[in-house]
Parts: sequence; structure tokens; C-alpha cells
Amino acid sequence: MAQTEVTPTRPVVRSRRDRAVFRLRASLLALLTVAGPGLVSGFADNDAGGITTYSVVGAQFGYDLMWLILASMLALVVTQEVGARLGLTTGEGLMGLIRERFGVHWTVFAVLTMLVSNVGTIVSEFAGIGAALALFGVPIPVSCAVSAAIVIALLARANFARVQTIFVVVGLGVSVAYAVSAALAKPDWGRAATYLVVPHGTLSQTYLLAVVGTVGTTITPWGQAFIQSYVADKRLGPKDLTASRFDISLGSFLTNLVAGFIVVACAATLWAHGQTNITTAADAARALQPLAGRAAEIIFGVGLFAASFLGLGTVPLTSAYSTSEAFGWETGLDRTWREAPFFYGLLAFFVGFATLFVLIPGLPLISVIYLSQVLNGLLLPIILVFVFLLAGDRRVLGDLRSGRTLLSLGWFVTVSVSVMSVALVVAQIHG
Amino acid sequence: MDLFYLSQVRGRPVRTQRGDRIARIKDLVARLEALNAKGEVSLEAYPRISGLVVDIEKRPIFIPAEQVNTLGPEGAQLASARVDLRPFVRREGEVLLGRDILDKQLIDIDGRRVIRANDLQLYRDGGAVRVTAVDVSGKALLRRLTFGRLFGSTNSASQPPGDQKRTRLRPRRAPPAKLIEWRDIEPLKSGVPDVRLRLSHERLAMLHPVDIARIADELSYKEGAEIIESLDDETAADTLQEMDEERQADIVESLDQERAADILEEMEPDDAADLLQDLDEEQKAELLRRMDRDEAEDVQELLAYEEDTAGGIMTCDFITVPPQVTVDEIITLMRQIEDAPDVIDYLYVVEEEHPTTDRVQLLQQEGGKLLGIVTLRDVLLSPGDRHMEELMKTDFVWVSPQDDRDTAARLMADYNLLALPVLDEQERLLGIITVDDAMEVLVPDERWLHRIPRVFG
Repeated sequence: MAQTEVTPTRPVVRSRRDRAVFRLRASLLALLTVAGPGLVSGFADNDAGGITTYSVVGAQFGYDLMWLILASMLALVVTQEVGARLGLTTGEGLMGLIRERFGVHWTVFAVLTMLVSNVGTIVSEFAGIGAALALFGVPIPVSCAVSAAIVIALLARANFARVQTIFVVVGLGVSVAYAVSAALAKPDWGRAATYLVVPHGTLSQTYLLAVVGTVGTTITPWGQAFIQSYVADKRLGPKDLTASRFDISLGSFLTNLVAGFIVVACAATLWAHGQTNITTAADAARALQPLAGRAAEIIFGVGLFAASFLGLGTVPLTSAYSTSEAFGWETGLDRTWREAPFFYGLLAFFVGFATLFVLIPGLPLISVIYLSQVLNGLLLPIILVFVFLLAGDRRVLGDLRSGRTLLSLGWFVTVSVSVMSVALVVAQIHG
Repeated sequence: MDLFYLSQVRGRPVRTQRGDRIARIKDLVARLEALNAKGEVSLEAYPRISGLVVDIEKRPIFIPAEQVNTLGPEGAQLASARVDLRPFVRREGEVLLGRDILDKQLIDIDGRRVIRANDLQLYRDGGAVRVTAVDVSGKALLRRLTFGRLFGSTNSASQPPGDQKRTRLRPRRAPPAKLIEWRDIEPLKSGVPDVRLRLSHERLAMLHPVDIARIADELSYKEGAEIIESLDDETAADTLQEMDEERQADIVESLDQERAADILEEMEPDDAADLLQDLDEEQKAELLRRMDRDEAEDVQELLAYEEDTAGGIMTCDFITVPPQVTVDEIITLMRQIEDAPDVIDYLYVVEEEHPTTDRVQLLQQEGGKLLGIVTLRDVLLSPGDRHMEELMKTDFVWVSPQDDRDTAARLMADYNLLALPVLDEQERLLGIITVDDAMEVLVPDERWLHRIPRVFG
């Protein structure tokens, strides 16, 4: 039997050097995808609400609230860490866990709290896009249409990955712009540093409003659910605890570092020159003038747009998922309308309501964004009570339940936030 | 009314025979496990309510079913005028329906999924009341929220429990059921640590390992470990292999180490190697030590290769044949192999390095120079007296262990291969890459990325 003598083929494979480059690129990309939940969460914190609130705080109170930037960063680490720990131990999201432990009636209460807060946040993202585009002369109805289109496209995920990466980069760029602006504005660094650790200011209604707003934009109800779901979905487990803690600390630090720069920049440019009232985006943009001069408005506009965009990409989905998981409804963008009616219904509600709201003529967009973060702060204690009840429960976390220190810290944060919220409400009623 | 719901019963009054109201129903106790005909402990198809728990002077009191005359949405009526104040104590095999089952995650075997109980359907059958089904509908949710006062009408489609044995599972593409019969439900131990149940998960074990893996992935790592532990070694290995990679290491860490080693032995060496790589050094060494010598060696060889190379995804489970063996001999020999590899679609013809008379031994020689590949198709269709070296294809595609795994996978797709040989510099056969592993490389598991839009990657 004749045998054709053919040498076995070995196709050309990459050279060693090619593979090294490929591996480096792959690992950088992997770093982004696997970018710890803490980093992702922290990033998403600098949405429309974030930029606006910090700008208002800096303009109105100068350096007085620097202590809160530090304090809320520490509080954020505590709450995010607990959220991550709950997620990796139970494999469940926050609302699902509340259902499991407290039953369906309390779940409805928790979900409603979160929905109200989230609707406020989503409205703020829409308002952010409106305000940003207004800087370029785009009328509000058009920006509403743009926002709605963005949300729909995000949900369809049709090749949006690349566009989104651009916005992440833009967001980073604007953060850097604020840092540079802060430096160029020749702020009172001494005061800023001292005020980081020494609380200042007079207790007034506006002060309380700023406090609750700042807390509300840093530690958000949706952020609390987000970190837990993210960790649970990635199927992280106890062996990932240390890594998660590290990256949560890093994420919180970075996001509040940016917050600090925004406050300082606004304090140095706006507050120092008596421009303490921010009513439009143009007012807020002036904080970037030391760096950019007349281009400040453009940079701010683009940054606010990017920040709102990122928020739109995260908050509606997180809300819809959280609510659906609590009640056992079908979820998933890979399902159709008919298969997952409640999930899509929620998304439609968010988009619809927010659009209609922002269309209200003469709406002071900046104030709306600011107040939505105050709303977050007011509702936050409710969510935190659930979270720390779960954290200390042996039935839920077993050996991984919060130790005495962490638990005390957690309850301290909860009580502090509650006190401030109550104080604000009381002040509003009396004032 | 013979069919009613748990939400309609909780909180309702308990009256004596004379009609005096003494308390409210706090919860129902159901006996989930009982001795079956073989004398083993197993789950009851439709558990009996063994009693009520009521609060009297703030202490939980147990009223056994024998003392209860009627039970339903109108409340409970006792058989006598008095009641024994027996404190409630948890007993083996029993659960509190409200506290332990309602709102908790349960496994729906029929639907191959994890569900959460919104409400429970109960059936009054002569003297006894039994749990018949779990209600996961939206209506049940509303019923709970209104404390059983609304939406209480039972679905005309729901029937009292049947006696027929279930022969087939629900069709895969059928819409999810709203009402699941209790006999298709398996509760989880880890979800309710106060409860003492044996829970052998025997029904779950009958599902396809991929379905079991998907269910286990939905739950926490502790519950995943509970499931894996309850399966036999082979099924456990099959299931663990299919589970989320992140999860596998956490689960193995939760298992008894001897058991973990047993399961690792049953796994494909390349999957076992992947799992071990995610553990810390100490644990990895410990498990390798406990494993069977041969299996451990195979795994250790694979551990030497980096994850993203061809060596990292290959397996050393394959069949080799010497060139002179005939088709008839091969078929006989293959039937004699004890632990046949998963992939027998290709037979690898290698140079006889160590001449041996043990014919079966011939079939699994490692490290021989690869001369050619014979497909099983050719073996089955050729006359019995043909030799392997006549049938083999010498123009085969191969890779070396350091080659990039993406390239290897794409090669398999291009050439329509079910397995790709991995050779060293002397063209000796080190391992093969099977098509399932190639698919994983080309179609990575990105389920979690679906939740968050691709902002971050």
C-alpha cells in the first residue's frame, strides 16, 4: 500500500515576542474587565450627582466641608466592604438577601425606598445631560431625546463598548482637569488640609443640606446594591475577600480624591471670589477657568455629559435587576419583552419618568441634580439599617460576619447619617 | 375548601372545641423527611403538617396535629377544650414552613432552576393536611402582601396531589411553571442552619451535570458545596467541572479534603489542573498528596504549563496504538479498557518505545513519537485485517505546548477537529486538546458581564 510521504503540518504560530506583547495587552484588558468591583463602583460614583454636588459644596462653603470628603470616604469603605462581603458569602444581591432574611413585607419597603432614590438619581443623570448640552446651546427636549436614545442603545449593547470606553477616558480626563485647575487656582492648601480633619462651618439649613447631599452622593442606595450584586455575579468567594477589600479601599480613595479636587477647585475659584451660588452648569464650569480659560465651559460640559452617561449606564440596570431579583421576576437583557415583562417595564418606567420630569419647563437642572443627591442621603439610613442587620447576623454570614469593630463602625455610620437626615427634615419643617 | 395557602392560615385564630379563641397561628410544622419503604431517610413527596406553633404568653407552643380538628383559612379548631402547653422544640426532619421555607431559595428539579417560595399550597386530605405545591406566581406575592385576604382563590387548574410517578422532566423550552409540586422541590440545608435535615439531594443527582452545575452556580458557595458533597464522586466531578471557575476553588476548599481528592481524581486531568491552580500552594500540595499516584502525576504534568498556552488546556487522556495492530485487535482491546478516555474519536499511532506483550497496556503509552492518526470512523468501516499504519493519516495538524491557546483553538475550528495533538520537539505525543476546551477558549463564559454594560471592559 503506497504511503504518501508528507510531513505533518505545523502551522505558523506566534513567536515568543509576539506572545509576550499579546499577553501584556491581554492582561491590561483583563485588568479593566476584572477591574475590582470597588474600582468600578467608585468610578460610577462620579456621575452627574457627584460633580454637581461637590461643585455646589465648594462654591457655597469653600473649604468648610473638606472634613466630610474624608469622613464620607471612610464611611464608603465600610459600607462597600460589607456589601462585598455579603455578596461573596451569600452569592445573592442585597434585595434578594433582604427577602431571604426579613421576608416579603420588609422587602417591599426596602425596594420602594431604593426605587424612589434611584428614580431621583436617574432623573439627575438626565438633567446632567440636559445641563451639559445646554452649555452648547442644545435645547432640553433634544437632550432628553438624546438621553433616552443613549439608554436604549446601552441596553441593546449594540457595539457600545467602544463608545463607553471613550467616555471612561473622558471622565478620567475631566478628573485630571479638576485636579490641575485646583492647583492652578492657587487654593489655600493649608486650609484645605486642616479642614480635612477639623470640621468647620456653622450649622445652618443649607449646611445640613450640603452634608446630607454629600453623603448621599458618595454612599448611594444603588451603590450599595451594586457592589453586592457585582461581587455575587462574578462568583467571588471568601478567598477573594482580601483582594476585594484592597480594591474597595483604592476605589473609594480615588473617587473621593477627585471629589476633593472638585471642592478645592470650586472653593478657590468660585467661593473665594464671592460666586457662591451655582444655578447653571455655566456657573459650575467657571471652576475650570484657571486651567482652561474660556474652554472651561467646554471641558465641564463634556465632563458632565460623560459622567451622566456613565451613570445612565449603571443605575437603571442595577435598579431593574435588584427589584426583579427580590420578587423572583425574570431578568436579563438577553430575554425578550414578553419573557421578562417586569424587568423591561421597570426600565421603561425609569426612562419615561425621567424624560418627562426633565421636560418640565424652567426646571432648574443643577438644583434638581443636587436635591436628588440629598434625597439619596435622606433615604440611605433605611438601606444601611438593613445592611448592618444582615452583616452582624450569624445565620447570614456565619464565620464571616462583621466583627465587633467593623460592626460598630457600620452602626456609627448608620446612626450618624440618620441623625443628619432627621436634623435636615426637622430644620426644613421649622425653617 | 380543600386547597388553600399558607398565607391564608398564618395569623388566623386558634379556637378550642367550645369556640374560645386562645391564640393565633404563628407557623406550621411540616415533616419533610421520613423513612421510606427501604428504611432510608428520604424526602416526602407531600409532607404532612405535624402541628401548629402558636404564641402563648410570648412563648412558642407546639400543638400537635392530633389535637387539631380542622385547619384552614378560617383558622384552626382544636379537638378538645384544653390544650397541652408543650413548648416548641425542633425535631429531626421537621421544618417551620413560614420561617424556614417561605421566601427562601429552593431547587425546582422539574424546572431545573432555583426558585424562591412566594407561598405554599396546602391540601386537606381527610384527617391530614399536606403541603402540595410551591407558588412562585405574582398572584402569590400579592396574596402574601395582603396577608392572605386577597387573591386567595385557588387556580382551577391546580389539583390535589397525584399518585402517578413522574416519568419525565418538564420540556426544556416550556415556559417556567408558576406552581411547582412539592415532590419536585428540594430544599437546601445551608439556607436554614437551624433545621436538622438529612437531605441527600437524590433527586437533584438525576439531572444532567450541566443543569446541576447551573443550579449550584445560582446559589452561594456553601450551598454549592452542600450539593457537590451529596453527589457521588463521578457525578460530583462532572458537575464541578461545569461550574463557574471562580466557584470551583471556593467549593473545594469547603469540602472534606479526602473527599475533595476523590472528586479531583474523577475529573478530567486538565480540569483538575485548572482547579488546583486557583488554590494556594499548601492546599494544592495537600490535595495532590491525597490523590491516587497515577492521577496526581497526570495532573502535575499539566500544572507545569501556563494557563494561556496549549499545554495549559490539554489533557493526557487519550488512546495510543502501535502501528502493527489490526482493526479487529483494536476493537477487542478497546472494549477491555477499564477507564476509557472521554475522547476516543481519534486513535494516535505512536512508535513502539517499550515493546510489551500486554496488549491492553499498548493502548495507553505515553511519550511515543506520533506517526499518524486513525479516526474511529475508519476503524469501524475498514476490513478487520487492516493494520493501523495502513489507515493512519500522516498529514496531521499539531501544536507544541508553548503555543498560544487561542491559536490552537482556532486551528481546531478551521480544520474541524475534535481533538488536536500536542507534541514536543521530538514529535512525541504529550497530550491532546479536546473540542470542549477549545470552545471555552473561543466562547468564554461572560455571564456576569451581562449585568453591567460594557463600560469597564
